[in-house]
Amino acid sequence: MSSTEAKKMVVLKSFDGVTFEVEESVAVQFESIRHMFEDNLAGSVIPLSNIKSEILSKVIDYCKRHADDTTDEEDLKAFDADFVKVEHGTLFDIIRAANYLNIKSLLDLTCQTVADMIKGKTPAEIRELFNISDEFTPEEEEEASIITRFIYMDRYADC
Amino acid sequence: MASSSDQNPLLPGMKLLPSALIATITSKLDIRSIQSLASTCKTFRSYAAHILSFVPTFHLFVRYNHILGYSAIDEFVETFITFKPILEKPKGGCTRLDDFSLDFLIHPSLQELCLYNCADCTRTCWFFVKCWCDFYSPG
Repeated sequence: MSSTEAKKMVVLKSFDGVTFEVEESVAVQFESIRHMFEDNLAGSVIPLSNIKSEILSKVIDYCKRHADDTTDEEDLKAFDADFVKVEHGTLFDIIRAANYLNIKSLLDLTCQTVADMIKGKTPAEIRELFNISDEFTPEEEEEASIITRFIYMDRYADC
Repeated sequence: MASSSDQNPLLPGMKLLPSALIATITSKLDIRSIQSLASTCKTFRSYAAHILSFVPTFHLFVRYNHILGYSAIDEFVETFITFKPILEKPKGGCTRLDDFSLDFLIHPSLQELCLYNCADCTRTCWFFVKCWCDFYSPG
């Protein structure tokens, strides 16, 4: 028997009907469905109705790489850095998927990425970055503007 | 397959995240960035106020901006000023409390001020506190 045949496989089905066959060692990183493996449901199709195939594919790639014991730490860091270089919409979808599947390391990585995007930016820059529409009343907007100028006086001083 | 933001470029993807996830992201930010995020819209302002309500201590000091010629208070205080409603009963360590910093904390909505580690506070600082008590206390 080859090593490939000996591995338990799990089939995951995305909400758009695409199936992915993955090793159980990879799928066990999905904490929220781990109990299904423990109930000997290996081999059956596990529907993931909240996750699109495009996103599930990325999540599986992430988990495969992190399940690989032969990958050294530096390579893993490089992989993670490259993994989050995606469009904002995709990044938020991955965050939702990581949350739904309860993959803590992926959730930490993606949330930290969004936090890093926000750090050091003015409210206007954050609004532009995430397409946040203006909801404030004129009075609230004026207050926010004053506070922003106060906080970022070093940047506004050059204007 | 298009992502949600691709389908509608004006859809604010971050605001559509579950509240627990937004809270997680916000908790990874420094105070100044929380302040900036809070100034973008009402949703994030409420998250920021929630996060800041759990900040247990803060340090106060005044820094002088030589370019603009006026004092700027430290980012913690700046943030608390924005969320004045939660400043009704602030508590904080004051190992670096500056004489003038209390000016930024003391306002009519303040109900209670609790300061720890006050051994190095100056007489001027206590004078400010006393004046506040005399001026704002009922009756």
